[in-house]
Amino acid sequence: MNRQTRDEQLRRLLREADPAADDPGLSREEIRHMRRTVLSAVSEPRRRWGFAPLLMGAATAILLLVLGWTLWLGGFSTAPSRQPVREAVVPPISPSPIFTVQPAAPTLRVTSEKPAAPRSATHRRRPASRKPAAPRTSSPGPVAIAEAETHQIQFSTPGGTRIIWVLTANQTTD
Amino acid sequence: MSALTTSTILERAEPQTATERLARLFDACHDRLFRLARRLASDREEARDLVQEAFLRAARRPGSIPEGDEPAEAWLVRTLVNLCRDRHRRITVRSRAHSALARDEEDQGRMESAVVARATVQAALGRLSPRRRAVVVLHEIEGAPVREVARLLGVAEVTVRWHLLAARRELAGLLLGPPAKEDRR
Repeated sequence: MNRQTRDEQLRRLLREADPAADDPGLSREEIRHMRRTVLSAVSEPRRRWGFAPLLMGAATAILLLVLGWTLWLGGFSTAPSRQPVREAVVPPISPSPIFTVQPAAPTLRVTSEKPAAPRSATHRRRPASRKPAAPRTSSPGPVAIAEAETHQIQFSTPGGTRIIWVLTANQTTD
Repeated sequence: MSALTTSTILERAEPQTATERLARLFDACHDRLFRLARRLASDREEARDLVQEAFLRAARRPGSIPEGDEPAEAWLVRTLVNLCRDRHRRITVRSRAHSALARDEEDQGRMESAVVARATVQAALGRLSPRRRAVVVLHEIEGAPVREVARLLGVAEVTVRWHLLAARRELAGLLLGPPAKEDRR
């Protein structure tokens, strides 16, 4: 008996012993009962989020309205306009303290000690001096009196940029 | 196969809700599933419970049933086979089949030969794993081709062939005795 014959014989045995061959199947009553049981257990998919796009649209519209209202109010606000910031950028010379306030007034002291040659009236001190920390040894002359109340504020940013503000009390704007 | 019948019934109208869809699926597939369950289960009551449990799973998760008639039918068949496998694990059908086979051999003299043969075949089928048994039932008893069995069970065709080869060898050893020497080569 070769393999194919054994397979055929096995198939015949299995089909002869098929339990479903003689089974009439489910009765009408069984089917009705099972159908009712099954259909009563159906969980319909929730349609709670069916209107989610509409909700999202409404929320977006409200957000845009609030944003527009805020911007509109901001346009009429009485906040002072910003003054342009004067800043001078110089290459770092030496490590300096983060915030330094030093008066640029040694001119008065120097003037009294060492009368040097008078400077011209048109001479103006350079606002961003190469050596801001060094005391001035030259005499400012008559103009120095006007510059007596000039202050410098030097500070450096974490990136290494040095900013020097020259504050002149008597300076008049054009 | 009854898939054509199922498709014909399901194509009549497109169901609207999950309940309607499941109702149509039930009407189309309950008989086919019961016959399969009857061949996979040990008795009629177990087969009925398996069919109902398969449809209840579909009812609890209607979204998991794939669209289309044939995929839905295959989904139900796979669910049924998985239920058989779960039940097989729980109640250790294998050991029961062993004892049933031995008991059948003892009672052989008192029973009709046809009944003995049927009980012996059923006991031998019960020794197979549920998936392998499903492959044998679908291919050998229901006559489904290998490709159809693979589609219904969601496995590769080579897997079906491998299960068939192993199942034939096991069943032949139980039902037909050991093969002759020349057959083993």
